[in-house]
Amino acid sequence: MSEPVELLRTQVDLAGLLRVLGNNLYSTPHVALRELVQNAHDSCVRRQIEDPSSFEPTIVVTPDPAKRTLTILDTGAGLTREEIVKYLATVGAGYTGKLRAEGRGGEALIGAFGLGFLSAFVVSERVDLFTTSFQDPTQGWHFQSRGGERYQLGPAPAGPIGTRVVLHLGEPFALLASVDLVPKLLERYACLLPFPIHVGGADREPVNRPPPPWRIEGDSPLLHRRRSLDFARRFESRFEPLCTLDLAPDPAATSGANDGGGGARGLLWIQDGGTYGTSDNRNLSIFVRGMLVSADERDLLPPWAGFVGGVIEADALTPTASREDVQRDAAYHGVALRILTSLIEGLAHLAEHEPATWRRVLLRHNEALLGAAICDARLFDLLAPDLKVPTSEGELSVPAIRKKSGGKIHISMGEQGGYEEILFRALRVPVVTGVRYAALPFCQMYAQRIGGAVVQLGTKQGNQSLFPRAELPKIQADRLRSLFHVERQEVVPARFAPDSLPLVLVPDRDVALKQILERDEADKKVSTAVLGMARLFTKTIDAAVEARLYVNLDAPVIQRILTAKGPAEEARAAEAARLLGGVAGLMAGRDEGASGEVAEHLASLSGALLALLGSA
Amino acid sequence: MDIWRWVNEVQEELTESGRPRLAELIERIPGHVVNHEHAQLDAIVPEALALAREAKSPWLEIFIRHWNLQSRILHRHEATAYLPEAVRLLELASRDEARECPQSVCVIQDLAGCYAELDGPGYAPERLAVARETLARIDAKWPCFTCISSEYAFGLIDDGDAAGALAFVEAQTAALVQAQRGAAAHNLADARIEALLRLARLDEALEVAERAVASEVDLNDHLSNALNAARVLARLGRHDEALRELPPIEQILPTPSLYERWAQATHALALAGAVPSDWKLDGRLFELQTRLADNGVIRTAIAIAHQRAELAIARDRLGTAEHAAASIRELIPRLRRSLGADDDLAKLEGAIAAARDADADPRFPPGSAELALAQLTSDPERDLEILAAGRARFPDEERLAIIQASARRAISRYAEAEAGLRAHLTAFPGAHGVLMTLGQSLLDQRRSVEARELAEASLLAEPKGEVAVGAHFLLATAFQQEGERDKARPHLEAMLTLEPGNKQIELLLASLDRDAGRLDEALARLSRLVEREPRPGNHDWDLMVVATLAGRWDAVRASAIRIGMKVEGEGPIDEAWGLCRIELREPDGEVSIQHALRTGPVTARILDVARPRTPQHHGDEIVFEAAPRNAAPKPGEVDHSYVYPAIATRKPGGYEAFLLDGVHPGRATLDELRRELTALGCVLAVQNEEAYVVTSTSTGEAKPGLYAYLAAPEACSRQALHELLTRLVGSDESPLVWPGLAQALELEDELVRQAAIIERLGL
Repeated sequence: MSEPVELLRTQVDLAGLLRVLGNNLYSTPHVALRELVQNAHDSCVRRQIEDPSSFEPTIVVTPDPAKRTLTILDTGAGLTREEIVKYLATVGAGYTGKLRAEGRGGEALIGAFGLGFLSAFVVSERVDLFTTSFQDPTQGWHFQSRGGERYQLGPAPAGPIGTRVVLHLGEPFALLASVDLVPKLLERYACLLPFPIHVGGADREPVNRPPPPWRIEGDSPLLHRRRSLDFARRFESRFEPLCTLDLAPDPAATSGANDGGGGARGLLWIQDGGTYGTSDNRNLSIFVRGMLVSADERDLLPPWAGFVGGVIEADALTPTASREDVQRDAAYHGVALRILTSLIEGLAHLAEHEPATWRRVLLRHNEALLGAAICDARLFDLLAPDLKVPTSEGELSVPAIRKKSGGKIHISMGEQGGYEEILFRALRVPVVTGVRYAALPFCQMYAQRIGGAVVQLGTKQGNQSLFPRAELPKIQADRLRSLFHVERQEVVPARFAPDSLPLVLVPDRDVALKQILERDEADKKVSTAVLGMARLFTKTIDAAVEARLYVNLDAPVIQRILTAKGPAEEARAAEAARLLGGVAGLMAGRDEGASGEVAEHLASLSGALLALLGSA
Repeated sequence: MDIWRWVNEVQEELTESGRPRLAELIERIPGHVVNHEHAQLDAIVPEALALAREAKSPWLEIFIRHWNLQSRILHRHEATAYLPEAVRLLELASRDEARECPQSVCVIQDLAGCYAELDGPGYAPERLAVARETLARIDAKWPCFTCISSEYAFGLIDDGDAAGALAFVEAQTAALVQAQRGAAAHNLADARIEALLRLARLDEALEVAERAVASEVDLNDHLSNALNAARVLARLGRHDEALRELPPIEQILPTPSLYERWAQATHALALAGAVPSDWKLDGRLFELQTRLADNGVIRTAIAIAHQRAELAIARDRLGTAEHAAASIRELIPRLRRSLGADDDLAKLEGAIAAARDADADPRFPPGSAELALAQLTSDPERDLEILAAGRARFPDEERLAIIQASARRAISRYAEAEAGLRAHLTAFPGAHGVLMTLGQSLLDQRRSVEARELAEASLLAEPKGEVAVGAHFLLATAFQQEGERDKARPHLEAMLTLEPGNKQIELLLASLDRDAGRLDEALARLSRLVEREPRPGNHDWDLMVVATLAGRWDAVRASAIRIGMKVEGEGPIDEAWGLCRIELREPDGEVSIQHALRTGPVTARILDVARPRTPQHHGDEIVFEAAPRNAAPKPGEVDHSYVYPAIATRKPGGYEAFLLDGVHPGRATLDELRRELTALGCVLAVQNEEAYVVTSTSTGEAKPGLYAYLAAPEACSRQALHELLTRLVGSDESPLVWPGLAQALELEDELVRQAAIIERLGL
């Protein structure tokens, strides 16, 4: 006896909901495919739980571009008439949610919202569903709806147990019937689902085989590596993966779900593309209960990992209502931390066990790794000896720099007139280009954690380190002062290399600042209270010394000047000192903060030369 | 003026004018600042600044330096260190070419912020004057209106006028609404909450704090709001909720601007027993106090010290309370104005004294050092009291000094730990344990110069025995750390004189000699060691390395046989012991790992041919470190080979490589080419995989390709090589090119011919 076809109404404001789904929840029509395959999967899981007879769980997806249809067939539990009415057409009442809530082995189920089926209506002009339930294998049902708001439901000849959904796609969604696109989408969306998913026919190779490398046990390391790289290539669209790193649940945790990392498993990879330090090519696909929820969850990767991609599955993550993102809850932060740890441990493992690959990583991402190292001490310790920083002698590792500079690390910040920098270039001592990405903080961290003093050229501390003050008997110190004395300059006896350089004049920038801000003109430029506040600071600057003249006691010419005897020699020494002072002044004149009395220095130079020529 | 509109325009201009990098950095800087990504910010600021100067843009320079100061001053509270920069930036912003810069007003906030941190109440009048004057220049339409208003409100609060501050915030909010910028009022939430807290209007404060969560846009907002909520809830006695809001200390440690509020919330929770009030908490709070004091943020450091003292008195740890009081006494002179700080301290000291008097359980000094040690618990606060009493009674007992230092370190009192050890050493120069504890701690902190000074001072007293050995050890290690290995040598020797026969020192000295090229000394030392040691071991490996470098094959063989290796014959060892890999380090630090044939215990010959125009090592005879870089193969690992770090090149291979690229000449021709090249002593290393295809740019025809490096020894005539290639693979039907070789021979016509092929095949 056949039952009549009925016209029924779904139980919510579907038109409104579909609009929301179409416009907001599901930003790409591909999601409909994902949802329907997920339903098919859940149906198979349900049958495994509830049907005592054995069956072969299978899903077959068939795109037909000529007819503009997409058919999804499964050998799962099928639906009875009551179930169609109760679950299929009632938003928010998915059967899977019921199973999971009852704790009946439903952990493997994906669906949660009962919204999945509705996505079919977003992309279809008409949806046909043929189903035969294992509960009544003699009776089939045919559900049909246009738009989802009302549907026809009637008996149909009994078929094999399971469900067949046929989407008659709307014009704008014709792509979903593409025989090229559908397998590609499923390779990504459904690659973690356990049941075989075929495209085009049950006799075709399943698109979700082989399973992801982390689910395969017993592979040799070589095979595992190859599998992992192949798998990574499916997800990394912009770069070749250079190598992969495994993401495993924290071994220290007792159970996967409670390890703080949400039992996350998966694969990370380093991209094989040269990038700049700040390039951000992070990408991370996340699967929750076997289904791809998001292909761009980059924020789960540490911000410094601009050269890393990954695929993870973490059932502790909770998809948002749109199912295209996950909630930023405690589990999310736990997974992020687990990824961070795995990344660092994976890199350390690479350095230890795959030196050649490690070298390629360093070569490719030197600059990005400089930035990464300063963000994380563990990473720094791993990378510190090998990364290179830009210097006046080319890119060098810090150990190589220290080898050439007596253990020190000289850094220039590219301030104008870097006198000391010229000096070092002449000596071929490498000077780190501190204005390049991460170079300065990396060197500073190196000195703090490994050793070696950082000498920042052009700073007070830098000068103290470069031109260390030397003790001199009072008589010689006085003589030095009288020979080189200039108003408001301090004469500092010092010893430094090279000995061919007798003097260095370094203006005091703080004093220059004080002079500018304490001049009357400043009152016109800066408002009163602000200027008053600035002067609180400038008042603390001692203005007695505008510049320091470092006199190199190791320089033969200075030694000669100091040991001059007799009036004639002493007079020549005084002229030589004047000449040297003029040269030092001119060189310092390159500096922005110097008083720049070029004419004065030239006059002094010229006078000294004349005197020397006259005495010759 | 709308700063962000200006920034957007500038970014577009920069991108269009060929400065996209600067545009990118400008985009990133504020984000890093507000998200507390301090390291990422520090990585790009110098570069951005250099690019802005190169572009001769003082406006951009001000923008970058201002945002850097926002991070350094506003977030990281590096007030003392960055005050000069704030003044310098103000000077720049007031120059004619920069005065119109939309960000020039913000620079004033940087400077005022510095003084607010140094001593907020102490500088309140100046801060208020600055904010008042600046507000007179701008109106509510300016984005900096809320920043300067906030600064003014905090100035009033610091000046003791919380009610005035609240009224002011209300007025400014109204002005914002009027200017249709009502949404910006959330920037005043911090000031409003602070004022309400001071006025003890807690429910209202909570309401503001809860409302502020809705307008969070960055990590700074998020942490700020969480801290505000936590401290209000804690004061309301809603401890569980407060605990849920309170961020973990790890999250706030990098950003000192959060310390004060974290300490306030935690202090309230600890007083109420909602979090444990113990030595661990005191250690954390003292760490915050110390960091702030080091940064010059004195008033807040004092406030945290008071919180520590109050908690310590409540849990009957008067030693800690006294410690906090002493630290306040040291900090007060660094305030601009006391403003009651002295009175507060006096009150605290009074409370401590009263508690001491009431202490029913006075501790008597222990009768012996052993007794003192026996009384120690696992609570460093309590232990420090016992140790202080013990040390007063037994000042020469170095065990007490060392344990005291370790107890102090456990509660973050690092400076005192060090000072205590130094004082002990001054009084008792022979305290070996103290010397080593202190010295090692300095070395761990990479303070090698101070470690050396310490050891040198100790050697001045001409100590004997372990003190002398220890001092020389510290000196040797310090020099090693500084990269001055040769200066370490005399100290190692001195140690050996004091401890004759110490094998580790002998090995170290030998390695120093080896690296300095004193091979005979190194070999003699190692030979003596090997003779002395009955069993083979590291000394044999070290000896083989040195003997190989020195060409003393007899000695290499002797040790190899001791180890159990089969080496026969005499003269240079040249075996074929299978594949290994060698880690080669160029002078610039560049490292490559190349396949090699192991030819002896510590020698190998490089097999790989490196890319032309990179350092070539093919055929190099390498001496390597005996200890491999990588771990032994795991069970089942098939493609494992050891990687050894190269020490020196015993004999350079003398090869130069050239590129060979183009259409594959066919298997037979390639075999013939290879045969003839081998006859010339050359090596052809094919680099491409099967998939390499070359395609004619004109016809689109694709053919299998060949991409190879050709390594030629010095002795091989380049001309002969060129002729060979021309003869075998120089036909135009299946063309190959070797431009490097042609260039080396300066064959102009040939270069033109090859260039045409390169273009035709798109090589």
